[in-house]
Amino acid sequence: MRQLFDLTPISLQFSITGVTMKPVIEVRELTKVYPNGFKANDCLSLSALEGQIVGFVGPNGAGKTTLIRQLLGLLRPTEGKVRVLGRDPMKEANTLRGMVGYVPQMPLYYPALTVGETLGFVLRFKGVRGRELVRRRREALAQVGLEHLVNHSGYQLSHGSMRLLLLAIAICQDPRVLILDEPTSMIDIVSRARIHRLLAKERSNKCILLASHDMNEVRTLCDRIYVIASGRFIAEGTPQEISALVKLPVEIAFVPAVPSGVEELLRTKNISFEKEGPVFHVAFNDLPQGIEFINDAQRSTGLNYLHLEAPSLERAVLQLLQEAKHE
Amino acid sequence: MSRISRVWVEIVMELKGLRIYRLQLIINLLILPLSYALIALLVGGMAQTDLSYLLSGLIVSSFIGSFVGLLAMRISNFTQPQTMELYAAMPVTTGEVFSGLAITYLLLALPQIIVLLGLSIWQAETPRVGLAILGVLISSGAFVSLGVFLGALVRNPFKAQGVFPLVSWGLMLLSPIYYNNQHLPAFYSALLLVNPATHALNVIRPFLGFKSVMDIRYSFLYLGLFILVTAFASYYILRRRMHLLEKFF
Repeated sequence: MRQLFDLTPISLQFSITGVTMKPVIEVRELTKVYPNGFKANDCLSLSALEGQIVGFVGPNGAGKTTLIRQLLGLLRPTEGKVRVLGRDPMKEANTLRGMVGYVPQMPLYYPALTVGETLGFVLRFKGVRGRELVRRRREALAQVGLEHLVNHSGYQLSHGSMRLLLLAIAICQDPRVLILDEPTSMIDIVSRARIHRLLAKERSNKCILLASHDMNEVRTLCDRIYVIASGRFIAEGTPQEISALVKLPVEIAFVPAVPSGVEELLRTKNISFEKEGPVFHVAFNDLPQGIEFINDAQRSTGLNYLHLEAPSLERAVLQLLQEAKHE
Repeated sequence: MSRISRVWVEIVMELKGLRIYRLQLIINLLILPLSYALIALLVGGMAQTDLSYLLSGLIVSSFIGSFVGLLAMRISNFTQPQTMELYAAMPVTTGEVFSGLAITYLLLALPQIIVLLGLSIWQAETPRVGLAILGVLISSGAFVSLGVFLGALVRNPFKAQGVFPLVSWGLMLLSPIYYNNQHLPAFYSALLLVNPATHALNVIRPFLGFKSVMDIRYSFLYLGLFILVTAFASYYILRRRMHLLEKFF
């Protein structure tokens, strides 16, 4: 596995700024082989602390959902150890139910129950009643932006609204652990931004696991990212560390304010370029070179449009996955 | 929150969830079974005792339809990956859901059973009401337990749609629900004793004045053991084998 820092042995406790923290989620050498022989998880190890958002990225079928289902006690691991809040999900799944909020990958729903009823039952299962129930339900609906659908039945909801309802189900329980399997897929950009704000707020007293295909989401929310391919973690680190793992060119597209002098400038500096109408495309080996060029271009010709593709997380992950595929 | 309270919430939730199937449930659990009873009552020339015999058979047949048919299918539906994932998002355990579903379907079957038992007692010559009710209670327990076990066992919904009607058919055919076993060959009579439906009839009919097919105490014992074994088997499946996507098809 490619990483920029040493992994602390997960059996040890973590020490951050002098405060010793026990991992909320602890997975050691976890392997899952399905009865048909397919190895969905191959010796995975990870740990997550309270206050952290840990992301999983990887292609479809990489093993993210299998890992999540084992954390929930829905799948029995073939080998290895899983602990959530210090408990074994296979033995204490029932105890963990009330402590772990889960948003499944599929948009699932109760067809005949309204949004309000569904949340009401969740809270009643938790023992919440009366005004407290009404308050918490209203709060959860507001947090995900579903107030206007409170009287809609499950079968009337769009896939995006179903996912928001699942998120509301998880949030309203105020769990210590949130496990989110692609929570914002099929969700509009306004709701997505709302969810990102919500997760950023919820992280303070929770441990959040987030499987996602949205690199922007993972980059902005996650403290640590695990890149998973063919059931194995192929990289681990912060978004910045993952981005820096792969050397990628810096690509710049720009439209000069005064087009006449640009080609001259590029030739003088011996920079190869491509031109598409008014847009020039150039590439540099690293970011400082790119920034230097932008400054030069701004001084000499001015810029009407600029798009800079620095080594992005998405491209880095893509590169890592392609490398893993070739290996 | 106590386990009993969560089971109660599950029952309420299931009943609310069944709202969209209201018409189907009324027809299958009330109108159709009672229409058979009505036809039996309207047919002239039948002795009262024969009517009571048929109506008591209809009670056991209703158990089979309600629990081996509907309840088993609902439990099997619960074991589908999507449903289990949905319930994994809820603060309720699988055991509580199973218990809630079993009680819900028992409640749904109750009106037709009360009506049929009332008619059977009305038509019987020498009914012993208390013991007949006891027989109905233990029989319903046996079929609820069988329904839960079958639902947990057959997790492939496509197979379930074939297996459950077949099991229902077997239970109905190999029991003296609608025929008298007194003139059957010995081997066939012995074969009927394997069937819980035969024992269910044997703890109801004698209290309506009919001759028992064997010692009633053995039938009570059989049904008690049957409940224990199927409940334990369901518990075992729930604890040991209830995992998603494991050899699903």
